[in-house]
Amino acid sequence: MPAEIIEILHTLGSGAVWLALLGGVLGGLFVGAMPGLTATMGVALLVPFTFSMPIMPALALLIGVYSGAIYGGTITAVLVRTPGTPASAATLIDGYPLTQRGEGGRALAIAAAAALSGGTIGTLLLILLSPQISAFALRFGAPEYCALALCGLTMIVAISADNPLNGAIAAVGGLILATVGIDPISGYPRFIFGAVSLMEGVSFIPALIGLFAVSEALRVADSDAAKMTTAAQPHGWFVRQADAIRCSWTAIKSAFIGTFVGAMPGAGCDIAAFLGYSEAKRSAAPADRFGEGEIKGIAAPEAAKTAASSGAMIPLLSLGVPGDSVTAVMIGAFIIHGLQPGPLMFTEQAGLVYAIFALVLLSHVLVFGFGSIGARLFLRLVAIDRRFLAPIILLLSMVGAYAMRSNMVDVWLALGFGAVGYAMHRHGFPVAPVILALILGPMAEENFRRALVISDGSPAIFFERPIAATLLALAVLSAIGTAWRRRRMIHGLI
Amino acid sequence: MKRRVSVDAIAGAIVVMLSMAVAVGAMRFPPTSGTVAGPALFPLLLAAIWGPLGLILLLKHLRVAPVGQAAAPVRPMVGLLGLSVAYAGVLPLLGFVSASALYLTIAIEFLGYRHRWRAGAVALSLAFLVFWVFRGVMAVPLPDGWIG
Repeated sequence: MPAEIIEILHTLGSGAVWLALLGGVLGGLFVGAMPGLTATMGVALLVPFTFSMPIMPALALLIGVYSGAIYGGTITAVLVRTPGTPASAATLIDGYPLTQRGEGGRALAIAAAAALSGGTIGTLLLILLSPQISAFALRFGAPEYCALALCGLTMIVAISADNPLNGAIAAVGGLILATVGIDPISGYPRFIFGAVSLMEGVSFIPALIGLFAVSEALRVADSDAAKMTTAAQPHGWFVRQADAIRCSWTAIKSAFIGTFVGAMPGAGCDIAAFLGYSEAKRSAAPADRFGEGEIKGIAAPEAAKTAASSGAMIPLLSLGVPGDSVTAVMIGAFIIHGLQPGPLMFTEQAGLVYAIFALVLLSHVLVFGFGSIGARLFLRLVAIDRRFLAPIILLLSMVGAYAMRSNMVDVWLALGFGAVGYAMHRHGFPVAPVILALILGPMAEENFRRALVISDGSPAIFFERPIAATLLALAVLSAIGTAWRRRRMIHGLI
Repeated sequence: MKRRVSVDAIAGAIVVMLSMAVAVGAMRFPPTSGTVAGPALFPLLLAAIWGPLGLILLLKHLRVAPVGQAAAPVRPMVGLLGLSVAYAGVLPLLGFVSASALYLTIAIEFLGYRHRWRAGAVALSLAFLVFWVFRGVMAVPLPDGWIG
């Protein structure tokens, strides 16, 4: 443990880390507050900026953007009834009525305090659970890793897609893309069509920039409104003692819900926020007025979604499996800097892992500070004309794609993936499973084939080993559950 | 009433065709001696899953949709994507700053902003700023081109 403490102190003593974290949080708050821009896009756009940075400032920047963007959407949701991110839509339900009553400042103060408590509880659970899960994962062999990748993908398809069939098509398409390039086991080049630039496979950074940043910029260009409507002016920034006491249990409960939802691959902050809200509403006291400016209706989704952002780091750090699309993009940044998230990280680079925990916790504190005091400033910033915003994002996307290898092929790839991502979104195909499949595909294939080599070609190995069998059973149950839910939805039972 | 095939059905047909192409391509991969787990195994398995998924999508939406379901306009997106493609084409020739300033000015105007000089000033400032961040701070070489 002393080595970990030294690493944390070393990290926190660096001015570059603080600067990066601060810049990340401010940038993230802006991205989150701007309707149409998401945390995933913000992180994807910034990954190329971290190429030349040392590892800790790079991670501080990305973690800052992630935490900032998750909260940023709340500011516009509460004050101008425009959720910056889907996760903030749950906060809008009770936040905006408070603004209409002239209590926008009070609503934001409750939101910021709940977000801080959710983030703190989520990070503490991350610190407690990740080492245990990673220690358990050290027992994993090839069949378990293959089953884990399949389980992660199935859950992502099940949860992230409104239409599971489209989600499955996107995920399998992503897995096929992941097979492009030199086969890691036999060394045979697959699906490269003579292109040397495809020997290393489909380049991950242009793919994620294209799918998340370029496609979103194109969607921003398509949107009707030129700029955000005028903002209400909030007053009163700090949470009142009576409000804090009234919301404390709701915030704690929602933080636990959010952390566990966030830790499930694919679930993410949006689902956590709405689950936190619906649980608070379900267990409401008779005097609570949900939908009419109830402060518990603000605290619950805020605590849940912030906790979910920490929860999403649990599978990322302990298993190397991303919890949501933002952490999927983050895995790319880890790999660029020569790090492989997963159980071995806890034994080989424990100091770094604990420094990451410290950064996550600090980012929530900074979000609380800037989110409370700087709300008025962010409202002015989000009034940027969208006719400027879309071309600027596109320019940054293309430069970012180019910067990785100083190669124009990556710019073309990013534009191609951007067009595909736009078309997918327009026709109800989620893009997150494609990126997650690109990450999990090599892990699934390599371990699948290794397991078959170990078992002399018998697939029984996946069912004879209890952990692998359990993970596969979870994958099947998740698929059946999705099909059943969908059927009930179609028949109007939900 | 006139009817047309839905986009979902077309997407399903494309997935079926692509999965067949993947399977045919994978069958040409050489086998690995002593094991079934050669380079073709995983792509073949994926193609075997992808094809039927595409077929389900195709069959589900084969009942054609009536014409007249107005889709949201895509003109800004198509124009902006076209401009971005043109930008990527001229970037190595013109150089980063001039190509980016030109691209931003035209794109901003294309999206409906009518103050050309203001758009040009913003575009030029941004082009220099991005150039400075990438070239000056991050030491990433950007194309110089004829103009710079």
